Amino acid sequence: MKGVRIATAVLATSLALSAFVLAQTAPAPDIALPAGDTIRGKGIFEGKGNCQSCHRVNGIGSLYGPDLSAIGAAPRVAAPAGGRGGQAAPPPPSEPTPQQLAQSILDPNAVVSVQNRYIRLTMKDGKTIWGKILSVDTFAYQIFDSTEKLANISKTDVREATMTSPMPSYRDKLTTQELSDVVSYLMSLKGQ
Amino acid sequence: MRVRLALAFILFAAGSLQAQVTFDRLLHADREPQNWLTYSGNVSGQRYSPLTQITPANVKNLELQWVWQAKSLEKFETTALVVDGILYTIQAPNNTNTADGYTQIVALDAATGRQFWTFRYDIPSTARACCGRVNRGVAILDNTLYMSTLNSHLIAVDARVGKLTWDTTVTDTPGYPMTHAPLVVKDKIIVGTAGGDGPIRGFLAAFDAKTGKEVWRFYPIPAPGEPGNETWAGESWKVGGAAIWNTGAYDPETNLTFWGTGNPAPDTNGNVRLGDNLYSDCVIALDADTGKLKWYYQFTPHDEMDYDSTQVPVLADIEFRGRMRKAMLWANRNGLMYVLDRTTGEFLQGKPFVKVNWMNGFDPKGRPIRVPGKVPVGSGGDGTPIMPTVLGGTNWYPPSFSPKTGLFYVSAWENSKSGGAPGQRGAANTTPMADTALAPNVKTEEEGYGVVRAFEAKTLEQKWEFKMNDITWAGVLSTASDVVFSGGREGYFFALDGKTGSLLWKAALGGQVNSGPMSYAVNGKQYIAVNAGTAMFVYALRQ
Repeated sequence: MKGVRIATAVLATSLALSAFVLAQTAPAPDIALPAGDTIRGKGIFEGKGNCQSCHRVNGIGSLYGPDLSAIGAAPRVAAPAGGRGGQAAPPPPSEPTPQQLAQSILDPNAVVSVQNRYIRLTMKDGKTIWGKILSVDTFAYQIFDSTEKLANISKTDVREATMTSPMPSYRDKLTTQELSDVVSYLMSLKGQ
Repeated sequence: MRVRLALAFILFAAGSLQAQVTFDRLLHADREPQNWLTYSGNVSGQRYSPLTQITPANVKNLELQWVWQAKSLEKFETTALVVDGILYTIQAPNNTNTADGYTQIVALDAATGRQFWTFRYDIPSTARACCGRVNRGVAILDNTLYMSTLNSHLIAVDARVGKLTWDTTVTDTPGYPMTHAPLVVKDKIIVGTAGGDGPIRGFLAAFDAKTGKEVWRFYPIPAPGEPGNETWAGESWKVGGAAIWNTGAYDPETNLTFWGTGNPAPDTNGNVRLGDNLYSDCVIALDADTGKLKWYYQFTPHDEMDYDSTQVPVLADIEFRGRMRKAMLWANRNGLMYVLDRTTGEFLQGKPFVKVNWMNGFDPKGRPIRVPGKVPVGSGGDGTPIMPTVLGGTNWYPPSFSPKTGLFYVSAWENSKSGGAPGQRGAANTTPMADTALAPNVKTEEEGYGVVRAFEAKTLEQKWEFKMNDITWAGVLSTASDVVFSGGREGYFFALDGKTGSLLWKAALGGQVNSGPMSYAVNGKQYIAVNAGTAMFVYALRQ
C-alpha cells in the first residue's frame, strides 16, 4: 500500500468491515489520511474496488458480506438495563472514525464483531466452502454461503475449519488518496 | 484475488437464480415434489404430495427425525413451506391478548431442523383475533417471504437473510386481524382479514409483490347501488362481517382466484340484517388482475349459525355425470359437501357429509331448502338442537384431494349440535375450541366425535371413514402412494390407507394437532411434518 503509515498493527481473530462495537473499545489505529472525496469514493466502491460483489449499500450489492448502508452511523445497541450496584451504565457507542474504517479495508482480520464471523470449510471431498456463520453446534455449521444460500454442513464432512474473513486486503490495490476517498464515502452512509 | 472475487460473484449470481421461486414454479409445483411451495402445496388447494417413498407397506417404519419447539403457547396452526431444503414456519405470539407479543418467521434446515435465522415482528396487545393469535403460514415469491400480521399489516422479508424488505399497512382500523397464509398470484400477494365476528366490513386485497402497494380491494359486502346490497336490510351492510380469513386458490386457465367468505354479522342474530346477506358465506371468484367479481355461490343464505365458508377451495378436474368438468370441491362448515363448476359457479351437486338438520335439500339452482324452526330461538326457532354445531361439520383446517384415488378427504365432526332447550339430552354444544395441551374427553358418541372421511369426488359418495373418540382440528394430507395423514384433539398423528381408511401407523405427540400435515424431500428422503401442541414434528422412514 503506497504511502500509508500504520503506527500500530493490532492483530486479532479475523472478520469483515462493519459493526464497530468491538472497535469502540480498541485503540484507534494511527493512520494518516488526506481529505477524501465522497463521490470519488463511491465510484471506487462500485467500480475498481468491486466492493458490491460482497457488500450491499441501500439495497444494491451482495447479501454475503455485511450490509454497509449504515456503516458511518453509530451502531444501534439495546438500551442498557442500568448499572449494577451503583455502577454507571456504559456510554452508548459512537460513530466509527475514519482510521477505523481504513484499518478494516487494509487489514480485514484486524477487528471483527461477533455477528459477522466467517468461516472457511475445507471439505473431505476437496471442495472449499465459505460462509457467514449463523450458528455452530456440536455436529454442524449453519452458514449463509458465498452463493447466498443457507446451508447446514455436517462436521463429519469437514476436514478443516478456519474462522477467517474472506475479504482481501486492499493494501496493494488502492492509493492513499483512493483509500481516503472510499473512507469518506463509507462515513457518509448513515442508514435510514 | 480479483479472479477469486469474480468467481465468487458468478457463483453468487447463479446460486441466487437457482433459489428464486418464480410464479411459474408455484403454478407447476407438482414438478418439484420435494418442495412445498404454497400453503396448500399447490395453487389448486389440494394439499396433495406427489412423493411416493412412504407407502402403505413401509409407513409403519416412520421414525421421528427432529422436533422444533415454538416459544409460544398459542395454537400452532402454521403449515410450513419448504424451498430447496429450507423450511419456513411461523411462531405465533403467545396466547394472551393482554400483552404485547411478537410473531416470528423461522428458517430451518429441512433435514435436521437446525435454525438459520429468525425474524421478529412485534404485535401490540391491541391486535386481537377472536380465536387465538394464530398465523397459518407464509407465502414465497422469488426470494421474498410474505406474512400477514395480527395488527393488519402485510410484510415482505428476504428469505435468504431474514431482513424486512417492506411493511404495508393493510388497514389501520381496529378489528381486522390477519391470520391466514397469503396467496401469491403472478406478481401480487392477496390477503384478507379476520374479525368477522365483530362489526366489520370484510375485504380482500392484492398488493404488488415488489413494492407492497395495494393494487385492488374487493369488499364481499356490496355498497349501496352495487348488486347485492339490497340483500342487507337498512344499514346492516356497513358492519356485516363477511371476513376472509383462510387461504384461497387460483386457476391459471381462467385467471380466477377463489376465496371463501365468512359469516354475516352479528353471527346468530339475523333479525337486524334481514335478507340473504350477499356475499357472506360464499365462494367468490375474482379476476386475479382486477379483483372484479366474476361469479359467486352462496352456501348458506342468511346464515344465523356462524357457518363461515372460510375453507380452502379445492380445485379438481373430475368426471361428473359422464363428462370431465373443471370442478371445485367444498366441504363446508354448514355440514354440506359441494361440487361446483369453477368456471361459472354452477351448482353441480351437494349433499351432507355429516348429520345436518337445518336444511333438507336443494332447489334446482343449488339454494338450500330450509327446515322450518331450525334457526336460533331469537329468530323464531323451535328450540330444538341444530346440526351441525356453530363450530361446523368442519372448520378452517384443510382437506385434501388426491387426483390418484379421486377421493376427497375431509376432517369432520359428527353428531355435533348447537342450541336446544337446557336439559334436553344432547342439546348442549359440547364441541370445544382448539387448544394446545391435551384435555380429557368425556363426550358420548351421541355428543360428537371426530372423523376423517373419504368421498368419491364425482359422486360425493362416502367410501370410508376413520373414527376418533374426540373431535379434530387437524387438516389432512394425501400422497401419491395413497397414504393419508391426519391427527386430532387427542394428540395422535396417524397414517391411513388412502383407499380403505385402515390405520397403518400412529404416534402420540402429547399435544393437540391443530394444523395440516405436509410433505417434502431432501436428498431423496421424504419427510412428513405436522404441528402438535406447540411443536413441529418431522418424520421419515427409518434408515
